[in-house]
Amino acid sequence: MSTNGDFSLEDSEELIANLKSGKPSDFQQLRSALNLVAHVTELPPTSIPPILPSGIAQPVPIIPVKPANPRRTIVTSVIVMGMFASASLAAAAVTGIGPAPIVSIGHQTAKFVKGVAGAVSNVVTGGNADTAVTIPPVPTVPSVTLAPTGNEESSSDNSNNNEESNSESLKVTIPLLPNPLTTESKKSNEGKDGKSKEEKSHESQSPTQEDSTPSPLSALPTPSIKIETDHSENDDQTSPSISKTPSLPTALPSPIQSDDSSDDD
Amino acid sequence: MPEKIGTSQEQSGKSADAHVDALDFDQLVEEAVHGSDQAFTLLWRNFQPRMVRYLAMFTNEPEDLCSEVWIKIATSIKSFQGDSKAFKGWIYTIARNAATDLARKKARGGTSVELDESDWIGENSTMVEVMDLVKRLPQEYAEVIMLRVVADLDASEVAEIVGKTQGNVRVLTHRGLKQLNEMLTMGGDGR
Repeated sequence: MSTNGDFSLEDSEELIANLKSGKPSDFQQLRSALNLVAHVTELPPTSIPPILPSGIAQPVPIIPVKPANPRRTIVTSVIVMGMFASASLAAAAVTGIGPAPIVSIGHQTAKFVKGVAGAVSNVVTGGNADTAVTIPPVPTVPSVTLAPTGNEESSSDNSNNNEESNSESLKVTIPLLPNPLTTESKKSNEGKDGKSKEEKSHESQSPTQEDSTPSPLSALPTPSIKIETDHSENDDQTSPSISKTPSLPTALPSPIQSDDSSDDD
Repeated sequence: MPEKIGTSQEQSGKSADAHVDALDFDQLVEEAVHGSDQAFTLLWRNFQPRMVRYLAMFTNEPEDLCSEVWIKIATSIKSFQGDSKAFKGWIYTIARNAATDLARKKARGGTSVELDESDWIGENSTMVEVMDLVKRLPQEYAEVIMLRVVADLDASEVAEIVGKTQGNVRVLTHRGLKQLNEMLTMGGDGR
């Protein structure tokens, strides 16, 4: 055993081993100190641990959660996506900031909504919604294609067949145009419609064929005829040759005839 | 060789504990692993005071930290595999890890983990002085001394806990005890 000044590794191991056995050893001061540290107060028998294994083993009650309804999820997601798309389009249309396709789609959507709103307002206020909406896309077609005289109903019929798909208002304006316009319209027809002069001259020189073919004016709707005749009558007052149009009285309904007679008077 | 738990004989006031008194330490650990609350309670009563003393080296509130340690032990005791010797090393490893985590948290918060004498009310003042001296030792010296003296672990068990070799543990123990002895002979001013 070493003295206090020479504390070896074996001394330290022996000291620790003697702490359990209680054998006396050198380094009494160190030994008593270690005994103080090693001595612990036992717990009272009534003490219980903070938790027991049985307490942990108890299953935790699980809050029942309804499974997600896929239908509701889809509907909700579609609504949210629609709201997001509409908001982004509206923002792009108003500010003009954003990707070019979105901005263009936003502008188109805004125009469409504006047109629909105008049509609805016209219907509500009593105006003609069809004319308000459909006339702007084809503003120059009637003046170009409609050059029929009373003898050229067959050619006008051909042109009308091409234009029937556009709108019904075009049908109305065909017979109501005055005759002096036919020369201009013929020139334009030669260039635009691609019809040859031979065809038109043939049409003009064969009135008998026109008589054989049924008049297209008989199928025209009456309300639009009334509108156009009013305009044409006002225009006819400036040109005396319009009164010579032969086919109008046959197609016009009786109220219009009375109006014409009153105007003529 | 199974180790008898002396405290269970001293705390045999309850009839429920009488059945466990006759069990050796290995059986006690085995029953606790299989979910016996009585066996777990006896183990807790045996190890709690020493664990509190050991954790006092790391924190000023060793009881609170020790409760957290026992909660962890109770949570994972069913997964423990080993004998009673391994059980001792296992629970002190859990305690050491908890103390390390707490010290890390306090270090982030800037709080000190120095021992305060006000935390030792009711204890022997001499023991407080000795603990103060032990805490003044380098961390690795103090830790191996506490594990070997207070937790009553041999060098091999301490080596597994602190992640060092047995020889290294012996050397650290020797250096710590030597420095502590110098402090004691110099009246606590050995540094």
